[in-house]
Amino acid sequence: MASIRLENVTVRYEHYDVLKGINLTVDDGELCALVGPSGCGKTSVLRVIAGLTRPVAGNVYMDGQLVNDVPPGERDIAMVFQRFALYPYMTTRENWAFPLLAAGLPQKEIEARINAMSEFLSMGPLMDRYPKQLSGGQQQRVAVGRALVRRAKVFLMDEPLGSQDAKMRVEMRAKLKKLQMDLGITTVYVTHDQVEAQAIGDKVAVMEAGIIHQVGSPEEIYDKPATLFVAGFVGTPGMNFLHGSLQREDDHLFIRHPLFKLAVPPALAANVEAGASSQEVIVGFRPEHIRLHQIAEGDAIPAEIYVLEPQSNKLVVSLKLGQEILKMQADRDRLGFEPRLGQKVFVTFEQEFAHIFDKATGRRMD
Amino acid sequence: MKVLKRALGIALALLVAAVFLFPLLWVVLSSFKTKLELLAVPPVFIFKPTLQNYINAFRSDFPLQVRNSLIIAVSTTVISITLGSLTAYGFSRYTIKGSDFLQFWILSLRMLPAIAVVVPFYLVFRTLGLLDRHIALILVYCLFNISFAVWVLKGFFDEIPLELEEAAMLDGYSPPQVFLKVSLPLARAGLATTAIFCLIQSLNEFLLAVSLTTRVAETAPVGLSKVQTLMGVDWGLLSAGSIVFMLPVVIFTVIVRNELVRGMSFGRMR
Repeated sequence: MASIRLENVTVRYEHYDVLKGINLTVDDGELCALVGPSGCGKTSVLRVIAGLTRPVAGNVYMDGQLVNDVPPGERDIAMVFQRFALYPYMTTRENWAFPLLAAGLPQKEIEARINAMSEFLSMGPLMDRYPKQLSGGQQQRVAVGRALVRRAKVFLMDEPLGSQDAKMRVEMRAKLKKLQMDLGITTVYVTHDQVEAQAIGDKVAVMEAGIIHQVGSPEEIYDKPATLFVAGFVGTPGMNFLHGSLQREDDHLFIRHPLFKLAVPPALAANVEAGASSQEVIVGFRPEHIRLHQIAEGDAIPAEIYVLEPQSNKLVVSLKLGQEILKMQADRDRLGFEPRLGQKVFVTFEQEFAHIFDKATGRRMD
Repeated sequence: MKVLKRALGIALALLVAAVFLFPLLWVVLSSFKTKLELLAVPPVFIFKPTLQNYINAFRSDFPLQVRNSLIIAVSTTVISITLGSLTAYGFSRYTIKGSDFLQFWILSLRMLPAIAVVVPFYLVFRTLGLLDRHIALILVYCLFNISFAVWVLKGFFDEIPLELEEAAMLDGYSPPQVFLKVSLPLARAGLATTAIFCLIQSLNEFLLAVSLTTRVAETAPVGLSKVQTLMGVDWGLLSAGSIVFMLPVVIFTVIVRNELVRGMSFGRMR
């Protein structure tokens, strides 16, 4: 069991900073999901924790001990590599035994652990096959098994489910989460899939271009994204962004957009005004916070239905408002009518769920 | 159409094989012929085989020469593979100052024409008192074969994904253990290929062998060349000797043939 702390970690490859002063704490027994687009430095964070990459600046602590100079083999870390890194000339069984032999475990113990893992991952008939005789998904299960069988202090997983088919992914995701909770092993889990990150993480860290934008619970990340990037990255379909400008009228703060005027909730107004670097702001609405109406009511904005995408019991509707395309999402049976392509409709925003960002800095303003 | 193409392909392959194997067949047949049959015109292909040539060969200095050849070739191969793989691994995995220059320098040793260094080597080994000793030829052959081994093996080590070694390191193995337990087994095909080439090169080498040995460490190619006597060439003895001398390489090649095929098509392994 161990906690991990990264302090101002910078990693440089040939004059290019892959990580730019990262700070991250993963508590003992916690599962931290690192999520971000490809090339954002997620894997580099894992490699720094594992000791495979040496930061040019910053410190890595495990259990409060500085481990910058501790070689990978002595950190007691198990890692699932993105491309599996299975030993090609060893069967599944031998691949799993390899780390246990290094640890000097007795033969009996090794066999017991391998058999238990085989059952856990339903590998039964595949135990004596070589990696090249296994499908991508099966190889990945072998890779996960090799990391788990060690019972190391820390698990690092680099896209461990990337090669599974959709069904297996969801199944394994839940299994991994349950296992991690049962074993209570500190885990850092890298994925590019924000849905997976939210599903599995006790804590989610959103990364982009070598920096961490936000660390928080899945709910926090979704409900209160700290930056425009997080707001746009997390959630499917993505958040709708509208450019507007701040305006004070009488005692109220408004955001003015060519199509509408949005009152900033009084509780936020002071913070928003104080934090603004200019009048230019971006307002974000999640698809589920846009309402669709057949007839005009109040300050509803006219729109045209552009694309319809059914998703099981939900419907994703692309709407054309003037020059802008917005996406809204609603349960089909709660919509109250059957939308048709090209239909003229009216749109209202649930203003209390507005996310307001500073256009210049991209930061959240409340 | 498809069948015809395939048949043509097989016919072509057989033709090529025949062209290459005919000299070998000739030698095999010659080794079982008597002197009269050997020189018969037109050549006879059906005759009563005799083992006399082999018996003669084994009664001469030939077994000693084969032994010398094997000692020298096997030692050269073992040393070249050992040092070559370590050096190649270093070049492949670590950043070394002036790496490109060093690698070219190592390769350039291989470009050295043997004839250019025969005299200097002769003088050096005479001074050291190593003439007509196995060690002299082993040292010289290593000079050529290590550089070859480094170049071939570096390619094979470059092909091994770094992640495999990192995985082993995280699994608790030290760098030397990673090299022995992960990298070397993965470079098997390269090791086999390199070993075959080193072995063949050391067994076949003639120029340096004839210059640096006289009797005690004389190798088989040198010995066989001396069959040309004032009395003419004893073709039967020469053929029998050649066949016996060919066996070690043939046997080794058969043993490692699977690795060899993978090694020859290298770049496609993973």
